[in-house]
Parts: sequence; C-alpha cells; structure tokens
Amino acid sequence: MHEHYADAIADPDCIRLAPDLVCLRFEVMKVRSALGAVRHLLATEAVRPGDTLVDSSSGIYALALALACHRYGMRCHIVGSTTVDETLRVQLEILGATLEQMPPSDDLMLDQNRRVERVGKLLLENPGFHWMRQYHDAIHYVGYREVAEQLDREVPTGPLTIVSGVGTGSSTGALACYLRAAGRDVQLIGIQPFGSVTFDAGHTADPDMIIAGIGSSIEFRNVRHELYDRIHWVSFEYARAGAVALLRDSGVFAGLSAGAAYLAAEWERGRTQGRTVVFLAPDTGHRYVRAAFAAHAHVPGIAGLAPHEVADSDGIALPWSVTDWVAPSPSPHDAVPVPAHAPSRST
Amino acid sequence: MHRPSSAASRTRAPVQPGTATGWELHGLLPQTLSADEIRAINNPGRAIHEHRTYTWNGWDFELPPGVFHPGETSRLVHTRLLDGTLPVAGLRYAAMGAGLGVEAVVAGVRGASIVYALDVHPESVRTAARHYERIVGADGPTLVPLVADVWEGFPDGEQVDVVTFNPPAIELPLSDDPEIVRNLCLGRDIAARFFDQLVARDLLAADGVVYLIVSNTAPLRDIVALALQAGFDAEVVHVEDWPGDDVQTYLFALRRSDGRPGGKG
Repeated sequence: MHEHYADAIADPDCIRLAPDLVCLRFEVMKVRSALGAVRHLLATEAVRPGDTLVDSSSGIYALALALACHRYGMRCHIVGSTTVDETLRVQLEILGATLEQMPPSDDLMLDQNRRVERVGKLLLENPGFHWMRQYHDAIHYVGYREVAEQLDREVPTGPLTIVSGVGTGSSTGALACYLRAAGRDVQLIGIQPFGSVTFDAGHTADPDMIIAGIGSSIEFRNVRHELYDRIHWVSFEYARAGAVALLRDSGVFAGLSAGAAYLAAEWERGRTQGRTVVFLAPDTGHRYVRAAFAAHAHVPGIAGLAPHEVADSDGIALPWSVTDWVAPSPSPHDAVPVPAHAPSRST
Repeated sequence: MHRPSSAASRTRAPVQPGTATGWELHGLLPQTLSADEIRAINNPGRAIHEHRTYTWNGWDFELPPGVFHPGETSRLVHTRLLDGTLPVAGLRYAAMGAGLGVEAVVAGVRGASIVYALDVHPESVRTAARHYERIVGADGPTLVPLVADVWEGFPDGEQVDVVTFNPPAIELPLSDDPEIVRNLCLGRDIAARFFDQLVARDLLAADGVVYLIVSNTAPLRDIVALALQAGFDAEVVHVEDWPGDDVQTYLFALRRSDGRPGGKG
C-alpha cells in the first residue's frame, strides 16, 4: 500500500517485452527523483518541514516537486515560463504550489539565466527558501537508488544494458552508479536529441521538433559523462516511429523519449548477446497524441531503420547517429559526491 | 593552516611576476601537490556550522553558520584590494564567491563605481550585504547582492571591469560535509563554468581584468589552461611561497588576449 499518490506514480513497472528486453515504465519518472531529493534534504536537516523549496521549471519537474512537497509537508514555489500549459498550472494551483510565470524569449540560455536571477532574488528575500537546482544538485540521484534496487531484484543475474534519454543525467547516472556499486555489469547507453549541447551536438538541429526533456541548451552538472558507454542521437521522426512501434508491439503507451529508447534498445539488442537490455519509458503518451501518435498510419516501422555509426559527435547526422562515447578527460564531476546512503522512504 | 612538509621538496621555485605570460607562464607553473600533501594542509573541521567572528583591518564581521571564514589566501586578495595593487576605483567590480563580504566592503571603501557580490549561498550574500551596509554605508557605491551559480543569475546585458575569483577548486573529497565541499572541493569544473559563462555572455568589459587566485593544492596549471583556452592572457601579479611546505599561491591578472569577447581560441 502506498502512503501517498506521489509514491504510487513514482514506482516503475518492469515489463518483459522479450527474454532479453525489459521496459522500465514510469507514469512520471521525475517524481521518483523529487521524492528522493526532498526526503534527503529533510533527513540531513538541510531543510525543515514547512520550508519552501524553489526551482525554475516549466515542465514535469515542477509537478514532481509540487507532489514531493505535498507528500512531505513542504511549500513549493516554481519560477516558470508563460508557456506552462493549463494541465500543469491547474495541478500546481490545487496542490498548493505557487507559480511565477515569466515571458520566454528565443534564447534558451538567457531564459534560464533570467529565471535563475529571479530565484536568486527570492532566496535573498526569503531565508526559509531552499534552491533545488534539479540540473546540478546530485541529491536528485538519491531517489533512483530504489529503482536500481528494484531492477536488481527483478533482473537478478547477468549483465545489463540500460538505454534511456539522458536529460538532466540523474536517472541514467544514478542507475549506473548504484547498480555498478552493487557489483552489476552495466553498460550505459544515453539518448540525445539533435541540437543538445550535453554531448557536443549543439552544431546540429532537428527540423521537426526537439524531444522534450532529454537534451539541453545548457550544461547540466548532474550529467556525468564518464558513466556513458555509447550515445545515440535520435530525431523526432525516428523517436515517433519508436513510440508508435512500442505501442503497436507491446501495448505500452509512452512518450517520445521512450520511443527513442525503444528504437535504440532494439538496435543494441542486435549487437549484444547475453545481456538484458533495459530501456526507460519516463512518461505516458498522453502529451504526445497530436504530435506523435495521431498520424500513426504514416509512421514507418522500425525494423528497417539503422543509425549512422560515427567516430565522434562531429560526424553525427540526422535522422539517427550513434557513437561509442569516450569521456574526453577525467571529469571534475568526480568531485561531486553522489549521496550513497539514501534514507529509507519511511524516515 | 600551513605546516612543515616532511617530504623533500619537489616543487620548483615560484614564478615571479614579470617572468612570463600566457602559455610560456603555464609551462613554468608548479604541478599540483600530492593528495597526501593536500590533505595535510587542508584539514577542515566543522566550525563552519557555528556562529563565528572575524576581524580584519579594524573591521568586525559576524559569520552565521554556513558562511566561509577567510583563510590566508583570501587575505592576500583583501590586502591587495585595499592597498590598490588590484585597482577598483571608478570601476565596476564583482566579487565572485562573496562569502562574508570582505572584498565587497574593500571595493566599496576603495571607490568602485558599483559592487556586485555574488555567491551561490544565500546566507553568505545576505551576510555580505549586512556588512557592506554597516561598514561602507549608504553613501558608498551601490551594492548589488546576487545569489548566483557562478555567473548564472547575473543580470543580462550588464558588464564588469574587475572580478576577483578564489575558486574552491581542490579535487579531493576532503569531507562529506556539503558546506565544506562547496567552499573547498568543487574541482576545476567551477573554473571552467566561470570562464565559459563569462565569455559566452560577454560579461567582462573589453579592457576588463579577472584577478584569479589559485594554489597548487588545486589543479593550478589546468585552471590557467582553461583561462588561456577561453581567450585570456595570464600574468602573475603576486606569488606567495608559504614557509614550511611546498604550497605556492598565485594571484594572476587575466585579460582578453584579443581584446574582444567571445573568443575560445
């Protein structure tokens, strides 16, 4: 029995699609991260019940943090964009979170800076506010420890290949860290959209649309490059093909990130023997009905799709590229401690 | 803080001001000390979680829990701001990592045209602002207190002429305490972000200068290399060869080598 709705939607389902292929399906994956982070802050007395947690977000992290605050008796303040959709805005309001909406510009880096500037002013004026920094603070790894433990139980033996969108780096990074620390042989495969700076693809662009949430226009310090073995860059068109194929093949109705992960996972299966390929489906498909699923009759199957295999990110090309990833130098992120001993959910 | 080294000295003689600039200077700088030496020199306690006081130049400062107590390296910067070695009069000045606010106070007293106090730690920014208000007062230059993640949060479209930066760039996990990690052990990453954002957002005036202070307890050569790669030239303003150990602390002046923002040569 779950003690709160947030716990229920944060827990993933392990779905075996083939003997060597597992889908780790979430309703809202970031809730798992936000719950772990808030729990860790309370357990370490970095915040007290009733304090206000603040961050800049216009997307699913805002909802995840609001739910985590609701779960643990914290206040939540979000600095977002005027582009926040009604579904999110209404939920935030009813959950008791406050939302400040700032007008967006064409420059995503300046948008982020402007929101951080606003967060900075709030922190100065309000000593009870705590800045979550979802992109940079390693406390966002903590919640995925339970996911790693669940996966370790559900797939107890053999080497694992984990395939997922990189995003802020927390889910993939944490799963690799915690499972490797437990002695598992883990190969980590990250997925990026074209145009993302995270793995040096800022020189490319997807003419259709950016797959929300898996890439970035700024550096995220929670992305630990040295953890990844291979990176796929997947276009909207191919991610859509993956999402439709995933629904058609398995019944799993998930978003574009999951579609890209399914596409890449099938390709990875063909290259490895004796490994279980686990791909993440971080959210449901509801947000993508019009953009991705409605025209399903015209979306190609994925069996005939193959990536450009390139030497490095300089050579990537649409619609799908892959490269073995070698971190260019020892990462200073090694100095960032990942909280290893997360308090249990009951504390 | 500093104690005699038991190991035979492996560090070359300090590079004096005027010896070299740019990559030639980089080649002369000492290597980072061994992990054991760094640990012996930096042995942080848990005093940061207590209320403390600090007195310097006849000024009294109150340090709430979490606000960093200046060490000898910080005092090198304070002293050289005060004696005019690092000129700020009439210039737009930014204290990167404002801490309890000594640099901001000195820049205000020395007549900077505007003073930005930046720190990722909100209580430090509030503390710096309180000290500035009490010591410099309302008749001094305007203080802009900013909670910022390096330059992220600094207002768009504004520039500064002078920046001081004492990065907490040790790359050893000297402590599990996040307050100590934040103040000492963020590695070269924080310097990389500092230079990347400064250049990408064109935050330094064309004839501006960054005063960077780094010791060989941190990846000194790599941090200077990051500055050079970001389009800055480097010269030594001051070097401190601490007695009794192999630590060398360098105060660099970094200026744009091309006189133009944005180059990452």
